[in-house]
Amino acid sequence: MVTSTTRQRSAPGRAPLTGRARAVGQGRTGLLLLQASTVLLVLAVWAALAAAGFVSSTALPGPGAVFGRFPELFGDGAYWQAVLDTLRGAVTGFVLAVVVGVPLGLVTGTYAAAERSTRLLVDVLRSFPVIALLPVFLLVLGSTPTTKSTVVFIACVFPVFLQAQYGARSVTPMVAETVRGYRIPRLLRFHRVILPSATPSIMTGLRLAATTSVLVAIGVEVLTTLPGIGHEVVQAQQGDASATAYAYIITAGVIGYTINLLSQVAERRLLRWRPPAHTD
Amino acid sequence: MQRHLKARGSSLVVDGVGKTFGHGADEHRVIEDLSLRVDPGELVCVVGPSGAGKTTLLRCLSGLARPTSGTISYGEQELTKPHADIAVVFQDYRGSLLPWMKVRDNVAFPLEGMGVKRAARRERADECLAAVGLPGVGDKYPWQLSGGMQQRVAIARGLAYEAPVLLMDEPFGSVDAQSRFDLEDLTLSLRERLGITVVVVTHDIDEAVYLGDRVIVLGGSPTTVVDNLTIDLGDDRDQLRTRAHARFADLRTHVLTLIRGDRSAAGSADTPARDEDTPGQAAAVTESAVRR
Ligand SMILES: Nc1ncnc2c1ncn2[C@@H]1O[C@H](COP(=O)(O)OP(=O)(O)O)[C@@H](O)[C@H]1O
Ligand SMILES: [Mg+2]
Repeated sequence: MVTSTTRQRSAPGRAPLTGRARAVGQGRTGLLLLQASTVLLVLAVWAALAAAGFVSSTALPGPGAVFGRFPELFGDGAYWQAVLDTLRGAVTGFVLAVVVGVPLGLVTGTYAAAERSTRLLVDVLRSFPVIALLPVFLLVLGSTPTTKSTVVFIACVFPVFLQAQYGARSVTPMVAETVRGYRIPRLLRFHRVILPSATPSIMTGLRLAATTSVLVAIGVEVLTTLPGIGHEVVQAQQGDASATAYAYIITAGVIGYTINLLSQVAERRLLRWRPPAHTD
Repeated sequence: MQRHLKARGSSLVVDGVGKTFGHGADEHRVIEDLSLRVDPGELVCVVGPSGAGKTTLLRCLSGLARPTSGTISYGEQELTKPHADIAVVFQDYRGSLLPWMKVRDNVAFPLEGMGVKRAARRERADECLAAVGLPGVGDKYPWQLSGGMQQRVAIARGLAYEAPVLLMDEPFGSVDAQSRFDLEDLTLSLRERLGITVVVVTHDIDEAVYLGDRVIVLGGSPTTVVDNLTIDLGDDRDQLRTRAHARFADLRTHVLTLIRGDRSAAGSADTPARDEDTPGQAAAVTESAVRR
């Protein structure tokens, strides 16, 4: 049931909203067309380059040859095994980074003293290029899937931690005062006030970390003998099967793109409470 | 003075309170040597010009801020942090509602903190929303409501807490005239029914006189208590009859004169002199000395 005041208020507001929604809808179709034609253009340039023979066909096979590899790869258990290996390493490291980074970020962001005292350590740690540390991990952990997830974890934990910390500081003074005035207990404050305040910022960190996780997992596979997409790319290249190598590279791109789409959906669901001006 | 037999809670006693903001060259003394007392079951209105420090005083009364000097006590205890017996309705109602929670959850949130079960929370929140004239908005988000409706949600949250003491900072400022009258009467009836103590901060003199058992007039620079008036309009207040009463007019004129006189005397360190010729002055029971 809606009171008469609500009805009065929302009625005039509805007309412009539908108008805007329609405009956005039109814009969206146009945008899709534009995006599709850009992809087609890139494919055309690629095909032209390959056909003109500026680059040898072993270094750059045409799109036809590359996409022609997929039917066979899809029927091959090794292809799916490689995808699974990469995803397993990426997801394990990513989930660990979230489980560790979000709570730590929220706690240190909430207490100014904790934030100040950890800042130097965090700044130093995150400045280490994670790939440069790879030999160390190989020495300590050996060439195992654990090494892959560990390196992914280290690459992902900092963006997640820093975004959570930043988000926790976005609790407005008025909300903080309300929570204090009504004596909301600490744990409830964390999950009903600080976490939701920080969610927009945390989501940015998660999106960044998700893309990074696949990137780093593949990077580790290229540099080591660990199985996965990266390993297959190297193998295919060394075996002069460059079309197969490109097919794996495109697979990696599709995974990255899917992750982005999924995180956008998740973000929209989690931030449903925001007024429409924000969700655009 | 215990106004009601069933009055709950304890007395709030403000003793010689001063509040200063800033340090060194920025130092700014907002309140000086302010004393007052609110007894269980009383409805006290605090009026003063805007910027006088009313919000600052209320934050101190709620335990959210500490006075720079003097003490505030609730019952036997000195008030140094928010107390379970005291609910606050903030002036910045918009900022004090949590935007990610639906209206019902906002109202029920303090109860969640007290460990009240979910079904009981929902029921109490819906009751309080209905009491402030907002039935059926529980499933909306705050931004979907008008300013006046959001303000009423903030009041509903204060009511849901069921504290013996309710502090409200300009609580009816954004609501339309009709709802404002309704909410004033709701405040009066809640006090009557539940025996709670209510402190309403307002800059609306008519509202203060209509609602209050007492009106505390703030003024001066820095701010202190200029007058402490007992409003002898009886317990049965009625929007039409009470406001049309000659006594009501006398009292509001008295308060208005104090506040205007204070403005013309602003800057002087002396407590503004009271205009002894004010109509109704003789009849109004003024208390120059704060009761201890
Ligand atoms: N946190 C603060 N820091 C500095 N100055 C403040 C603070 N809070 C209030 N003030 C100052 O105290 C004075 C009184 O403010 P306030 O209590 O909000 O007045 P009122 O509620 O009566 O309008 C104002 O001059 C304001 O600038
Ligand atoms: Mg104020």
